Amino acid sequence: MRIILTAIDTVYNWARSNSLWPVTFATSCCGIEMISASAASFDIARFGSEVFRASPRQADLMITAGTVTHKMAPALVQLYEQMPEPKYVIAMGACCVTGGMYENDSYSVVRGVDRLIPVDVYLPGCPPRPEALLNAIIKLQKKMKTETLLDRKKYLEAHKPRVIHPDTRECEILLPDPEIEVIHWGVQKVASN
Amino acid sequence: MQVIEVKPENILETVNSLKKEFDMLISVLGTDMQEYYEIVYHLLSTSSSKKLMLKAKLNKNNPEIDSLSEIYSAANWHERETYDLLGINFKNHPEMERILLPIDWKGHPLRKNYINNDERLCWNER
Repeated sequence: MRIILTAIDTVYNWARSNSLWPVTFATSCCGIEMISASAASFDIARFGSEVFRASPRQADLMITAGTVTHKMAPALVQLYEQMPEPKYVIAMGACCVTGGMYENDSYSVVRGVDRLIPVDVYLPGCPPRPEALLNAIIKLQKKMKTETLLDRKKYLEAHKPRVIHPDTRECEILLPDPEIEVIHWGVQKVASN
Repeated sequence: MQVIEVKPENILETVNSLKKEFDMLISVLGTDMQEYYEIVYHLLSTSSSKKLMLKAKLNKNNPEIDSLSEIYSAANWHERETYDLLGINFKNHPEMERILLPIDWKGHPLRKNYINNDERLCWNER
């Protein structure tokens, strides 16, 4: 039984790792390098990722390219949750990894996208070259080829986003709700009622 | 570019008299100069392509100036942004609300004495 499962997993992993479809989503200037990587001179299509989907429901890779602000955070989380499982994230650029040059005193920037969603590959650089993005995709493909879907569940459990309030240990990401008049933003303390 | 210093209470008169020649407002800026706030308007004449800079010094405790949004409609959003980031009040503005930051944000971040101690954001500290 185990041998059959392993064989199926190998074929399944080979298939999905060679057709990683990214969602068309960039939060700032690293997006230019992402566009450049998909154009003719660097040609991301060599690795099976040329189909940038305009809808998150058809994508299984999110390249968060650029600075993430508090105002953008709910939109980013909503896009991530709309993607079908199994889904993967590459945090591209210094701002996405730790907050980058906004780390110390900025009032509006989220210090690393891993506070909002689980990240698979960290890609530093300001901005990273398109070759570096290709390298990150190859790293991700290698990772996908060695794991089963059960491993994937355990990985997501272990890498839950670190959005925890220091006092109450309860925090939630508020998504925009058209019925509520006040526009909620980012991550807030859970209201005690 | 010529620079004219204006008293804040005379801004409407000055701009009204300049409106015929300088028919375009390029930008509205605010600066925190520690002792006072300074507001800078850039005007452009599309016929002679000359530029003009208007400056006004505002009181530190109660920064207020008349809104130019009746004269130049471009001033509307620029003034809202200046209010959002520096807390300068524009009198007679049709919609004096925050434009970039979330509506329930506390404080004005580009002021020199701004400290971000919003406890809803404490999860984001390093």
